[in-house]
Formats: sequence, structure tokens, C-alpha cells
Amino acid sequence: MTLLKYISIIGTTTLLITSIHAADDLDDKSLESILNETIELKAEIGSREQAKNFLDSKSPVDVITAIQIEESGQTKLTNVLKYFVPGFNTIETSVADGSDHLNSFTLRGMNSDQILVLVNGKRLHTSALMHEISNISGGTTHVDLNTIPVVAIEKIEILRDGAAAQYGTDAIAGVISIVLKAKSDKNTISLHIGQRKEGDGEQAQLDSFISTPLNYDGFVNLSISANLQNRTQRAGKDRRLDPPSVQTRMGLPDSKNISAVLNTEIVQYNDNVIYSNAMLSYRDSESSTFYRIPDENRAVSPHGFLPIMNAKILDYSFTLGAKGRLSDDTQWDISNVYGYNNFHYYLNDTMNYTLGALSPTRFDNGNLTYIQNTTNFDLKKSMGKFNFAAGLEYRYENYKIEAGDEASYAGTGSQGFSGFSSENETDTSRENYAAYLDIVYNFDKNFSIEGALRFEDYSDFGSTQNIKISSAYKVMDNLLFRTTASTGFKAPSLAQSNFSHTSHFVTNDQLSLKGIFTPDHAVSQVLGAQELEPESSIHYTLGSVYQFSKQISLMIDYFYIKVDDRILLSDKKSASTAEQQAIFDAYGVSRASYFTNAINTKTQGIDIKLNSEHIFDNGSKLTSTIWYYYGETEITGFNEDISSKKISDVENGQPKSNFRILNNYKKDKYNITLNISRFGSFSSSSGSNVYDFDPLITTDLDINYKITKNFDISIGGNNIFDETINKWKDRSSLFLGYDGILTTTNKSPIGVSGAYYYMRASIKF
Amino acid sequence: MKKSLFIFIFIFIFIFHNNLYAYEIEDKLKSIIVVKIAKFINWENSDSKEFVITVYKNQLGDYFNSIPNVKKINNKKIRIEYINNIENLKFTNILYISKATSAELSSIFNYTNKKNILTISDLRGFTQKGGMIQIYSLSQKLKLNINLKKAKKENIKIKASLLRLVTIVEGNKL
Repeated sequence: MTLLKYISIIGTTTLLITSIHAADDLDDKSLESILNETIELKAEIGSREQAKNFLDSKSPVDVITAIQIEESGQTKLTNVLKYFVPGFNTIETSVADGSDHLNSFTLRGMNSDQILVLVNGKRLHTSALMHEISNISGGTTHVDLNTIPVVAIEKIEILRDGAAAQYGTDAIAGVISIVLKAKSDKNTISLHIGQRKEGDGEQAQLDSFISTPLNYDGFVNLSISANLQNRTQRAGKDRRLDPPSVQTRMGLPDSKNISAVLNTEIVQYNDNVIYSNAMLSYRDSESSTFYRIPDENRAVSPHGFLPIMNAKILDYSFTLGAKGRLSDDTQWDISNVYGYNNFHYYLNDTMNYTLGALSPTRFDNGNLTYIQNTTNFDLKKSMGKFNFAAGLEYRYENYKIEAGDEASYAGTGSQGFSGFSSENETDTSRENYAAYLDIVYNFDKNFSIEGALRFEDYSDFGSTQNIKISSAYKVMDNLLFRTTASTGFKAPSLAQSNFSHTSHFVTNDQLSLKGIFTPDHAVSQVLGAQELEPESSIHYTLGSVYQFSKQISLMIDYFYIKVDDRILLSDKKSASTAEQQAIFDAYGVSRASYFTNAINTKTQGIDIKLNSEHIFDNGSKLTSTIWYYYGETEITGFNEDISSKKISDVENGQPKSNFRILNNYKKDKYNITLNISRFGSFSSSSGSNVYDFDPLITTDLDINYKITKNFDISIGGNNIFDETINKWKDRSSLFLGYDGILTTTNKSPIGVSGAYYYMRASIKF
Repeated sequence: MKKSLFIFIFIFIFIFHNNLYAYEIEDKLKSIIVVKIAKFINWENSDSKEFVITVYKNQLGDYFNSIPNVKKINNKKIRIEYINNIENLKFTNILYISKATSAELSSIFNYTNKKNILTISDLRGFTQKGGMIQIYSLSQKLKLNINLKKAKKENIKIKASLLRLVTIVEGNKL
């Protein structure tokens, strides 16, 4: 069905059902009715003022509530964000090493590490995984959003604006702020089971949320989520075999996940609050690398074997803080957050050719660890028309690579993924001090302006200052104009500065080293690498919110993001001069890449979002959101030559346009959610060739029925009409081609596994 | 893109003039709830010709001001008083406490004791600290807590019909 048809149907339906007038006079309503009214959504992100209606925000802000998340039927946070936010993209890769086990994401086409993630207002640590293979966030380390169980979330606030001057590094493209459930009057347990249309990819997820009230509206909340997911298989036949057969895995990995969140607020009689949250996540995930074909001369597995990558990911954080008010009404908040992530690689069912018959078949390939400890002290005070906020931050980071078994990297290393060697090992730390000042001046209730200034000093690359100015003006009660201008930065991550992963390959009957070298390694230096500098950015937004009646809001926001010195993984380079060859020979290297401040980019686009809600005379309610996003990125300058493939990946590697029509209809015991999404075309490149992928339209449906007040069941599906991404066009290859093993790109915004159908039962008590 | 945008705007133009429903402003609803609660109380007769709602350290904007023109409670016209110091409190039926520290609350309750005044607030832990009715928000709805013991002690007679809409909590000893 074409987009035109979809929109026509939805538009006509919406017109018909919105033609019924609903009277609204709160004074005449009963107290019971008033208590059933839905109140405005407030957001704290984007300003240091008190939480306010997100429609009145100076920056474009979106809010996704716990109820919306539940109604969507989504079980992973990355999928929740993709479901609701058109400019948010996430992918599921195959045969992409560690990336298969941790979903990359982008916002407005910007990388995962250019998006700051907060939990209860505090910076969340990133994963230790370096995405080595080019995908939408290749060459980055970023937050593993799926360590946070969605059952623990009260709301998600998304700031679509630069905010480094307010929150520090990484907030170039925006901020995703997760607010955990606080006081609650219901405990829940729910079970979700489902599978793909093709009969595989079975999934079971058990979620529970238990809340215990404490004095003065304090609470102890425990959320636990356990998920089992079987793999999907969408690979093509391996034509190296006779007869050709499917061996390599393409699709979702086999994975077991458990995550828990303990969120606590102890409120004292004097209103001071001691708060803490502890988050724990463990994932055991398996995917394959490319199949190794039979070889009679091989001592182990002469009939062929499929190396399986097994990632064991442990992630936890602990926050402890206190907040309160001084006698002069100054609000204070002091906190410490410790975050830890360990990504441990294992290879199963494989071998090391160099070791021959002595080769083990299971390897410990080493592990990556990232630790972040952040201490904050914040003050906030209102004085007449002014709101002041100021704060200090100290952050400690540590990045570590520990080598695997010697057998995993000796000689040619374990097939499929060579282990991290002792030469790759690193244990490096840095510190960072920051201070900020934020002032809001409200000229009157219709016009306010905010200025933020932040100073940061990093122990490895020095200091940076950033500024943000934003304002909102209500021309009329129902028409608001807003604009922001800010500078920002993204510090090179410790991983980008210190990551290396090299392995030996047989070239001309000789072992030679290939892989990623640190920028300060002699091999990188001779190729022209320089010490990494922070990415710097300028961000502008200009937007308007119009509430046509008090019933409908329309948000239109233009954005412009200029980023200089974006950090990329360089192309794989061979020695091209005598000097380079001498260094390459000295280290036994044949090809190398390194991180570099490669390019300058310009990203601009628009978001148009229409929200409406309607209550019918029969008491049923329809909530609709229509949201169109368009954004494009252009490379405006090169600090280093990069391949046409990398240029294409940056400029055309993701859908530029995105469209959502989200509808929720509630009547009596029924609650129906329908989401239609359109993802625009994009391309994927190889060498100098660029391959196009067509636009995709998916439909998600969730039908919920309340059997009793506290027990409900749902049936639903994602991509229910089984939309599939097209195969590589005109690309014939044994490995990546329409007739190969990986028949389509890894960058599909809807994955490759097709329709997913599920059932869910939920008990509240 | 142009086609999509055109269709989008087309749909939007047809939709926007219809009268739909919207999220309500939280502060506005709170002010209305205060008045609605008054109807669930059996008020003792007093000499006053007006029903007085006093707002302590108002944080709810001017939403209370629109109420007196349209409503009556106990067949009396409503008068809204604003104070920032509890010592300025004169006769009142309801005291809505919009902002106060715990120390202030103690002073306020000492002042209102035995005066047959219904105390309402949206302050955290209000009912446990000795207040009578607390308004709080949960999942985009406003909800009510009642400290029934305290209300009875102050001789505030709450109708049973209100109790099915609220959660009854125990207050702490002050």
C-alpha cells in the first residue's frame, strides 16, 4: 500500500471521528470526572527551571509516558524510541562482531555518542564496546540503552537540541532523559511471548514492578525484567558449498537478558530527600561470523564450521544523592554516580589455524571495560523574575582492554574474530572538572530568555567553554515561538584515543598485522594521525507551537547542526612511501586504520508534529500524533582523505525522511494502539559502489482487553504486514550480494527478521 | 517529501477546527478540585455570609480568581483570600497551603487547630505531616489522600461519597 493510501485512510478516519463536538466545562464536572482528567505533560529537560508543560519549552522537547510505552507493546528501549520518535534510528546487525549484541542508534542522523543519556537527571555511563565495523554509529562507544528495563520507566524526555552548555560533553544532537518510576499505587507483573511470522525468533519476557511506600511519599521500587530471545535466520545460501546451503546466521542473535532497577527516595520530615538507584544488567548473546567452508587439509573441523561469537555483557550503576531546600528557598542537590560496563568476547565452535590439531575450539578473546564516576553539586534558586542555577561536576573515567587467551590471538588467531592481544591491552584514565551557570529571566508570563555557560577541563586534552541562549515568546496564549543557539562539544572518548585491535593475516604466505591502531602508535603517526581533538558544534533551532484550540497542538521546529572535527575511523591504509614502509616493516604491519578528526559536517532539517486528543460522547477516547521528520547531513570539509564509502555512509547511510501516524483508541475494556511508520530511502556502499534501499512502511498494532480491573491481556504485532527491506540491487557476491550470504544491508531501520506477533498478560496488584 | 508534506498539511487543516479534548493545566485542576472537595463536607453553620478559601503562599497562578463568579458553596458566595504569613489568617473554611516548609506546616497546624478549618495541599507527605487532604499526581492524573483521623479530630465532617475517591492514610504524630 502506498503512503498516499495510508494517509488518506487515516486522514478520512480522523476527520470523521473528530467531527463530533465534545463539550468541556470543568466547572460543571464532578470531582470524580476531574480526577479522571489527563493533566499536562511536564518536562524538566532543556531548562534549569522547574518542570513545565513541554509545549511551553524553549527547546523542542518530546515526552513518552509509561502508559504509552505499555500500550506500544515494545519490550526494548531502543525500539520504544524508534516507535515514537521519527528522527531516532536504530539497527540490528549481523556478522558485525560485537555490534550484533548492542544496538546502535542515532538521533537526527547524528551518532550515538553525540547524544547524552541521563537517568533521573544524572549522566549514564557508556558501554565499553567499540563498534569496529562500519554501521550507523561505527567507530563510537555509546550508551547501551537496552540495559534499562522499560518497566522501570515513568517517562522519557527527549530534547531535540544541543545542550552541551547545560549538561556537558556528548549533548550535540540532543539528550535522552530517562525518568524512573517514583511513587506508585500499583505493582505489576506482566508476561510477553511472541515469535516471528516465519516461526523463529521466539521471545519471552517477564517484567515486574514492585513499589513499597515509605514515609512522606518516599518509596522503594524494584523493577526486574528477564528476556529470552531465540535467533532468526534470514541468510542466503552459501554458494561456496556444493550444493549451496544456509550456514551463516543473519538476523537477531540468541540472547538471554536480565536487568533490574532499584529506585529509592527516603524523605525526611524536614523535606530533605536521600535518593539512590541501582541498575544491573547482564546479557549473554550469541551470533555467528561467516561460515568456514570444508577443507580436508584442516586438522580440526575439516567438514566446515561456523564460528559463534558469544558476548557476555555486564553493566551496572549506582547513584546515591541527597537534595533539599535551604531556609532561603535555595534548592541543593549533591550526588555521586558510579557506572561500570564490561563487554567480554568469547568465540565458540572455531579454531586457530596456526595451532592446527592443538587448537582449542573455545576461546576467551578478551574483554573491554569502561568505568565512569560522576560527582555533582547543583544549586537552584528563584529570585523574582530570575531563576538561577549553578553547579560543579567532577568525572573520572577509566577504559581498559584485557587480552584474551594467547591461543585467541597467536598466529592467525581464532577464526571469526581474533582475540585482543597483549599489545592491544590498555588501562587508561582521565579526569574532568566542570562548572556551569544558568540564568532564566522571565520578562513576563509570555516572554522568557535563558542563558547557560559551562566550563570544562579535561586532563587529557584541555579545556572548553560552551554557551547556550534560548528564548520563548508567547505571541498569544496559544501561539509560542522559540529559538535556541548553542555551542557544544564531544570529547574524544577514552576508547577512541586508546582502542586498538590488531590481528594477523596471511599475506603472500607471510603473517602480517592488520587492524586498528591507537592514534599515537608509530604506525598511525607515520600515516599522518594526530592527537584527537574534541568535536565542536554549533546548534540552532527555530520553532513554533500553535494550539489551534486547547485541543490540538502543532509543533514545527527547524534545526541546524554544524560539527567540526568529527571523529571517524580512518580508511584502512597501506604504506605508500618508503618512510611508511619502514615503520610498517618494523611492526610487521600490512594495513592500518586509526581514529582521526576527519570531517566537518552540516546537518539540518525539520520536525512537524501534530498532537490531538478527542473524547467521544460515549466516553471513548482517541489520541493521535502525526509526525514528519526530514533531516540531511552534508560533509562540508575534510581534514583527511576518506573513502567515497565513508562519505556515502555519513551523507546517505540513513533514511532522511521519517513519518509516524500514532493512534490510540480506548473504549470500555478495549485499548487499541496503531502505529504506521514510513522510513525513507537510504543507501549502503561498498568500495566506490553505492546501493540504494527503498522506503519502508511498517504497521504496528496492539489490542488490549481488560478482563478485570487489574488483569488485562493483549495481542499485537510489530510490522504486522511483514514489510521487508529489498535485497542488494545489482550486487552479486558470495558474501554481500542479492545472491550471497548477507542478501541485504545491516543498516535496515526495520531489521531483517520481518513480522513479529505477540501476546501479553498483565496483572496489577 | 513535498507530496508527504502537502498531504500532512491538508489533513491538518481539516482537523484543526474541530473541537477536541486536551490535556488540562495541572494548577487549574488543583484549584477546581479544592472547590469541588468543599461540596463533600458538611459545613457547620457560621455567621459569615461568604465561604472563604484562603491560599497560603500561592503557587497556582490566578486560577482561583475565576472561581468566585461562577460558584457557590453552602449557598454562600465564595471569597478567595491570599496570605503569605499564617498570622494574617482570618476566618476561613478552607486553607490551601501552596508552599511551606515542614517547620511552617507545624506553625500552620498549631494555628488552625480547633478552628474547624479544612487544610488542603499538594505538598509532599502533607497528610502524614498532619494535613487533611493532599493532592498529588500519578500517571498524568490527579489523586487525593485523606488523613481521616486528623479531619475527625478537627471536627471536619467528610461525606462518605468522597471516601470512595480517595486513599486514606495515617498521619504521623506531630
